[in-house]
Order: sequence, then C-alpha cells, then structure tokens
Amino acid sequence: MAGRSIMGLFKEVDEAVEAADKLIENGMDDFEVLTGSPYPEGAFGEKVANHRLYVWPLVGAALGFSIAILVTAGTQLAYPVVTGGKPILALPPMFIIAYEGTMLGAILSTIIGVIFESRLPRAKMGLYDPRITEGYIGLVVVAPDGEEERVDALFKAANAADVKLEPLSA
Amino acid sequence: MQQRPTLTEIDINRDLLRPTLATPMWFYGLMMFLFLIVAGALGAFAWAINHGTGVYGLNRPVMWGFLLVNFVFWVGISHAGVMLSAILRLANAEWRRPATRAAEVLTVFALGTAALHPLFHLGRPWRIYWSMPPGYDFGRGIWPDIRSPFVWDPTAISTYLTSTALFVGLLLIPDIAVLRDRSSGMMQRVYSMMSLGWRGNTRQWKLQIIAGFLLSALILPVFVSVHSIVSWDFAVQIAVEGWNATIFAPYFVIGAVHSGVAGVITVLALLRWLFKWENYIRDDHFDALARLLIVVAVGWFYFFVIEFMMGFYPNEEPELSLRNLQLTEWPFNAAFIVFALTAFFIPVPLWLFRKVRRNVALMFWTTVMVNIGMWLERFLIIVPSLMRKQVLTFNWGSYNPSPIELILVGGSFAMVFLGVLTFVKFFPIIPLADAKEGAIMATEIRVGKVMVPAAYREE
Amino acid sequence: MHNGGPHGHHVDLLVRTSAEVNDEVLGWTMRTSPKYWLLVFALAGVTVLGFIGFIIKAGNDGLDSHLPWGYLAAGLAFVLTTSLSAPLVAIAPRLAKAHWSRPISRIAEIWSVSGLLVLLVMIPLLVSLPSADDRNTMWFYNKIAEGWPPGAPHLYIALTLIFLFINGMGLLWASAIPDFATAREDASGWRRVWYARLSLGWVGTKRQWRALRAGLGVLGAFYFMFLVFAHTVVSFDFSQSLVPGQRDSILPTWQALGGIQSALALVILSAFVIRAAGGFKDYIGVNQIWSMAKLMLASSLLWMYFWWSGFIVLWYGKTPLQQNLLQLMWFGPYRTIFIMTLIMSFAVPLLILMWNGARKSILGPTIVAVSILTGAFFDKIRIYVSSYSIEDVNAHTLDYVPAGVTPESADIMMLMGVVSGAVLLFALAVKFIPVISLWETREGMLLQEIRPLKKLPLKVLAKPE
Repeated sequence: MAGRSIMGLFKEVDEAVEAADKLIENGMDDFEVLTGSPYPEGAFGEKVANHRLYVWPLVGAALGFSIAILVTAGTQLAYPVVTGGKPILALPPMFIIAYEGTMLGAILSTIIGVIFESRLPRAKMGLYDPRITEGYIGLVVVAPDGEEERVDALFKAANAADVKLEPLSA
Repeated sequence: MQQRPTLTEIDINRDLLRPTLATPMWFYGLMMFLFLIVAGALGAFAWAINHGTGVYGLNRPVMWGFLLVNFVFWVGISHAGVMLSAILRLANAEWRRPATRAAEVLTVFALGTAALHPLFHLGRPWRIYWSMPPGYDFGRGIWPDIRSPFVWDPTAISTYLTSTALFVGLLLIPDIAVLRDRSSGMMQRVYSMMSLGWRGNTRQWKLQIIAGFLLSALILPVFVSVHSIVSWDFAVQIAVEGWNATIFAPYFVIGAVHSGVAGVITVLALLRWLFKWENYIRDDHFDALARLLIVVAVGWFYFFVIEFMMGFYPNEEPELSLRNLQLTEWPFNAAFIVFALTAFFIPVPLWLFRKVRRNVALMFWTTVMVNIGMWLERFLIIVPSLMRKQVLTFNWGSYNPSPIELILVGGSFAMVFLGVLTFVKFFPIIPLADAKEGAIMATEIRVGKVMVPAAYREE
Repeated sequence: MHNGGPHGHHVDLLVRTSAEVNDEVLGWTMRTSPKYWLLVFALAGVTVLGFIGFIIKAGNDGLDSHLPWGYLAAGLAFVLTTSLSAPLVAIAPRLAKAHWSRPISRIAEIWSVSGLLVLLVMIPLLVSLPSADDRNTMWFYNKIAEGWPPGAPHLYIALTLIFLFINGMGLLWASAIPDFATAREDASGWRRVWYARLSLGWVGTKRQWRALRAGLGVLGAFYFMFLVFAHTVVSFDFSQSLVPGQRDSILPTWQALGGIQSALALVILSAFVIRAAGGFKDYIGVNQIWSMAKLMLASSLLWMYFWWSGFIVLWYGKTPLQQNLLQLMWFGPYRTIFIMTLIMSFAVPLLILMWNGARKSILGPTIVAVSILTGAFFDKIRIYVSSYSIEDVNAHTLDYVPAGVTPESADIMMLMGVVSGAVLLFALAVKFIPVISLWETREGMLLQEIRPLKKLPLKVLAKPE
C-alpha cells in the first residue's frame, strides 16, 4: 500500500490541533507536523520521534582518543629527542592532546549524528510550503489508497488555509 | 514591571531578518570603513614579513609584547562567548535566548583573529602548518615535540574553532530555512543548499533542541581546556618567576569569562542600537547578564588576589622585583591603577544598582571599560614578567611597542567587528527559532491580583 | 504527585494546601520517636569517644608542637568542606530565583549548626600551630613591618571561623523566622515559648517580607564570601604555610571548589535520609535531586580540572623542590589515599552521572554523594596530615620528603568524634527547626502549576521580577 502524502496548512495553532485530533480519531495517528517554531514534542499529540543520538558522541570520543594517542605516541617515537628531562612517551602532555582529540571526535560525530538523525540533508523536500516559516502549521499524512478525498475534507473542515497533494510520481 | 510584547512569527521574521533582507545603506559604509582598517593591518603584516620580525618592538628579554597580549585577549573574548551560551542553555535560563548566537559568533571571529597572532611572530609564517597534525614535515622526518605547550596550544585552538564554527552552523539550519523561504535569486539557491532541505518536522526540531544541549555540554570542557592551555604557555616554564604559578589555568579561564561576558553585553548593546531590537534584547536581559557578571567578576577578583598575594608570599627577590615594577614604576603603575579601576572597582559597584543594570548605555560603557581593564591585565602579566625574567639586574630589559604592532592590534579589533557584521549581513544574529520558542513558552501565572510572567518548562 | 502525559511525560508538582504542609512538616519536626533518641545517643556516644581520644592524645603528645595534630586538622577541614559549605546549596539557587531548591534549602542551612563543632576543634589546633615568626604566612607577619599585623595567624583564623559561624546561624535563623511564627501557633510547652521568642512577633506584613528577602540576600552573599575566605585561611594556615617552599597558589581555590562539590553531596545525602525518615516523598522528588546532581557532576569535573592545573605546572617544572612537593602531596607516602580520592571524587561521579537515567533518579546521585564525601574525607587526610608531618617549618625550601604518618587509635577516635559530632548537631536541630522551609514551599506552590500546552501537560514556572 503506497498511498499519497497530503498536507493541510493551518493558519492557527488551534485549528491544527483540532485537525490532528480528527486524524487520530480516524486512525491516522502517524502524521508529521511541520512548524516554523520548535513546539515541545507532543504538543499536537503526534508520535514521539526515536533517535540514537547518544551513541554518536561515545563512538566519536573513542575514535578521537585512539587517534590522538596514536599520533602523539607515533610522533615521539619517530623523532625521539629528550627535552626538559622528560620521558619520550610523557603521559601528561599526551593526555592533554588526547583530551582535545577525544572532545573533537565526540563533537564532530555528534554534529554528523544530529544531521543524520534529523534525516538531512534531503534533496527532495516533499510536501512543504514557505508559509510554514511564517507561523502556519503543516500536517502531513500518508492517506490510505483512495482516501485522499476524505483527508482533504477533514482538513478543510478544520479550516485549513490550503491543502496540498503529493504529485503522482511519473 | 514592564509588559512583555507578544510577538508573532511574522513579526519575529520581519524584525530579526531586517539586516539581512533589507540591509540599510550605512551598514555598507561601516563595513567599508572596517575593511579599510583591516586592509591597513594586512599591509603592516606584509611589511613585517618583508622586513622580518625586527620591525616589532620585541627585544631581549621581552620577546612577547603587544601582539601576544592581544592574542590572549582575543582568546579570552572567544571563551566567554561559548561559555555564556552553553551554561545558559544547560541551565535552561529563559533570558539566554537573544544572547546565545551573538556569543557564539563573537567566539568564532575572536578566536579566528586570535589564531592569526602566533603567525605574526613567525619569521616564515607560511610554515605554521608544521605545528598541526595534517602538516607535519613528513618529508624530512621532523615531528613536533608534543611535550611543548606550543603544540598543545594549536591543537586546542583548532579543536575549539572547529567545534564552535560547526555548532553555530548546525543551529543555523532552521533559521537559514526561513531565509530560503523569504529570499530570491542566487541567494535563495545558496540558502536552499545550506538549509539541507529543512522542513521543520517534529523529529528535526527535537534533534535541534537536543543538539543545543548536548553540544553545549561537549563544548564546555573544550572551552575550559583552551584557555587553560593558553595559560600553560606561560605557567609551566620555570624561567619566568611571575608565570610559574599553579593557579594560572583557572585564573585565566575566569578572567576570560569576565572579559567575554562583558564583550557579549557590548555587542548586544550595539546590536540593539543599530537595529532597534528593543523587543528582543530587553532591559531584563541586560539585568540578568549584569547579575551574572557580578558573580563572575567577584570570582575573578578572588583568583586575582590569590595570584597576586602569592607573588609576595615566598618573599623572594625575583618576584618582589616584579611586583615592585608592576606597582611602582611608570608606566606600569599607571596601567595597574587603570586596570584595577576599570576591570573591577568602577563597574562592579555600579552593577549592584538595578537602575544601572537596566540602562543600556551604562552597561555598554561599563563593559567596554572591563575589556580595557582586562587587556591591561594581560599586558601586566606578560610584559613586566619578561622584563624581570633574569635574576641579575644587568639582564633586565624594557619594551616599547612599534607602530607596526599598534596597527596590528587596532586591525584585530576592526577584523572581529567586520567578521561579526559580515555574519549579520547573511544570517540572523538573534536566533529566530529561539525567539519563536520563547514566544510559545511564555505565559503567566495569576497570583492574587497580579499576573506574574512565567514560562512552560519541559523536564 | 505524578501527572501522566500522553507521551510518558511525568510532571512533578507538590499538591497540598498550606495547612497540610504545616501539619506534615511540623508534625515530623515536633515528634521524636525512640528510634530517634537511640540515634542521638549513639552519635553522642561516638562524639564523647572522640573527646576521650583527644584527651589521650593531648596527654601523650601535648599541644606544644603541631606535628601530632594532622588528623585533627583534617577533621576540621572536612567539616568546613562539607557541612559548613552546605548552606551554599540554599543560597545560590535562591539568588538565581530557582524553584527546585525550595524543599531542600532548610536542610542545607541547618548544617551550619555544625560550626559550633568547628569552633571547638579549632582551639587545640590554634594552640599547637607554630607562630608566624620567621616563616611565610598569608598574613605577612613580620614582613610588612615588625610584628604586624598583630596576632597573626592565630587571631585571624579564630575571627574568620567565628564570623562564619555567626553568619551561618544568622542566615538559618532569618530564613526560619516565618516558620517559627507558623510553629508558634501549633506548638505547646517549651517549644511554644521558644518558637514565639525566635519568631520575633512575625506576622508577615508586606514590609516584613521585603526585609526578610533583602536580609536573606545579604546574609547569603556574605556567607558565600566568608566561606571562601575560611577555606583560603584554613588551607593556607593549616597546610600551605607549614610546608616550606610550597606555593601552590591553586590550593585555596581548589579547596573552596571541593567545598561546593561536597556540599552538594552532603545535601543530597541528607535530603535522601530526611525524605525516607520523614516520609517527604512528595516534597523532595527527582527534580530536587536531579538539579543538584547536575551541579555535582559539573563540580566533580572542575575538581579534577583544578587538580590537573596544579599538577601539570609542578610536573613540568621538575625543579627539586617541585619534585619533592609532588612526592609529599601525591605520589609518595600518600599515593594510595590519593588514588582513592581520584576514584571517589572524580571517576565514580563522572562514570555514574554522565548517564541521563542515573542523573535523573534518587538513588544514582545518592550513591555518588556517598562516594564524594568519602573521597573528600581521604583528600583532607592527605593534604593536612602530609603538611603537618614537616618538622622544620622555618626552612626555605622542602629538601626532603618525610615518611607517611599512620593514624594512632586516638586519631581515629577523634576523626570519628568530629564526624559524628557534626551529624549529632544536625540531628538535634532538625527536631527543632522545621526541616522543610514552610514559607518557601508555600511560595513555590503559588508560583508553579501544571498546565497543558495544547496536548502536552507541562510545568509552568513563574519568575516574579
């Protein structure tokens, strides 16, 4: 069952909440809410988005730490000159560089992780409307086959400013 | 109690994107002016490369002068920027909203500018890459000595610069999407690409919010490490008596926070005047920032007193001669008095008054004052210590900054402001998403007959 | 009370009438069970044991030299670091206008009663402390001018700790005045008399509230400053200045920071105990413990950072003096105890509290709190016992590392006595002073509510300007 995406665009938040209620009543609780502001999750009764972001910094940190230890140990062993009476593999300075490496690894991988878990970048945006960044609320739902009309009517009954249907793919 | 304005998303877009979408003419004039100063400084640098580092006023034993002072100063400014945004985010302070991005952007440009300063000291600046991992001199088998703080330093600064720049970029995505929807032509295509196809669904917003917290928590430890490592450039050596102190790392960090938070307030005041953002950068924001600044300043002063007292404590001649120089000999005694007054004794008592905290002009001038003081603080740490580096008096020396150094110092200020203005031209400096979230979360609680301003809080 | 949201959001909020709050809190405060008295007698017994230990030690070694008293100095520093720092956990959030600290602020403030014990312990330490003649102290005795400032260092240590105690008691009393007024209406017998006296005829006019708020702000700010100063003085005079050549300028600031860390741990632990003992589960919830746990994690990271900042400078310098200092303080005779501190004050907090689930619970932070308090205890022993083991305090540099000092049984008795004495004072005070601030709780109920944002129940926090 493929179904086509359909988007209702609402000027007022309360209209969108009402439409979302109706979607849930009609068994279509898997809808997407597009907003121009970060509403707290669940404000429209939408499903919770799961993610595994917390794994990313740990993996990145482990990687960064290992690379930093390898680089610091490797460079010192490759060019072993005693300075300041310190051992060739002096742990405190190695720790300082390893610390930076760990944090850099954690931060880089978190940033990649956020983009990945946000399902970005996307070349095709799908249903969207520039008015969303002006305060309109978009409700996107995959209408079951042949039920586009019903969803359309449902949105319009909730006073949607606009209803858009995903174009049929060629 | 002042009534808070209710703002719709349209209002917020219109007001905060004004410098980007409807740039006023004076803005270009200002940028041109700053650009000319920066160009002059670049010319001075070219002169220094051509003639060698002898054009600076540096000489034995003072091999670090105004440029190094300026380096520490800008690293300091960059520090508090992110610390402010990170701590306030983690503490979930409502009043953080307009200040966070300005703080982060100031960080990026201040740090970038600071990173140029070591370059000024190199006779062959094009070989700077030797100190960083991708550019080691593989061919000749020469590797950096990681036991030197001068290797720790570029590692830390490049980590910090990369992290903050990416952090700013990541949190910009939703705001770039707003610009994408409001612009046209080539800029629209560029913004489209940079917004990565952002639609604003629940998942994307949720991750933006988590990213703000998580990355703040990750960048804070980096921020602390960077200025600590800068301080170890000085503190770990035993040759210069005035520097070899264990307190240096936290003392530098809290000094950086002091000057950096002051810097953020200066920038916010300027932005409020230039773009008439009274509804966004409100009096109560200045009030809250100033109260934070009182705490920071008192903390910094405690570290300063301990550090300074420790100079006298061992009662040894080299340290006493240094303190003698700092406190009694012209022009250092004058610098010391100005430093003490401007960094602490004038502004902090003033901030105790609510009227001062809520007066934008006074906050602007007092925070500028703090940074004059903090610049002098670094000067008093670096230069007099080197002048009294040796135990024997015939090895003592003096230092006079050369015109080239003065031009470079002046140019660095123009460079940071030019950077911030360039950012303002292309991206919103007050985060739209944060302002919009603040508008959603703001509410009131009725207590008896008064409505007390309140906010929804997610836990 | 838990309000389940559609997405498993749980919002904690106390739902009570003012009368119910008064009944529950005052009821527990004024009721003493046999179990309670058993605890009090046990604590009193151990405290007396500590006193006997002191008599034995004083009889054997006398008070002429500072050398035998390292463990007692560690005991004083431990109480200063933990229970005298605890009021900060009430002061700082109050200045930041945070709501979460309302139910625990009184617990934090009550700990200042242990200052009495500090004043007692201070006396033998002052008597045995070597004079400032011919040695470096932070008071620059004999340096600025002959014999100036007079009485250094003894007089100033005493003044600092006495002022700190007075300030702490003032803060505790001021913050409890409205609650004494409430209690005065409910109590009878001697309690009624004392509550009435201590409440100073408080009726709660607008003017009185304004004065109270201003007073709490000022007393709090001063307590903060006195406490930091006390840490500076104690770490200087009982440690740093006894070790010739030691100029580890980070030490006082590190000790002050350790005070904040241990204060949070102590308040978490005592809130956990009070919560269980008094059945205050609705008052002290995850929100309170979690808010403190976040700060405790931050302070544990900073604790490590401060240690590292001092260590790297001494390690890098590598002069004979610096190497001896490293040996004396960290890597010589006290290495084991130092590694224990590192684990308990840094590794355990980091590894447990870095997880959201552990941080946002009651049990996780409590376990970490116990670990931090133990770590702080070891840390004080390491710092003060090692400093007290130097014989020639007038030397110019440290050219030898003395052997480690193991505790005698009298030392152990004294340490146990100091700790249980502090707990005893706390245990006595919680049955007199309302252990949960009634007025702050009532105010908190006015300024917080649960309200849905569209479909989502959220907590609303009001911040009066």
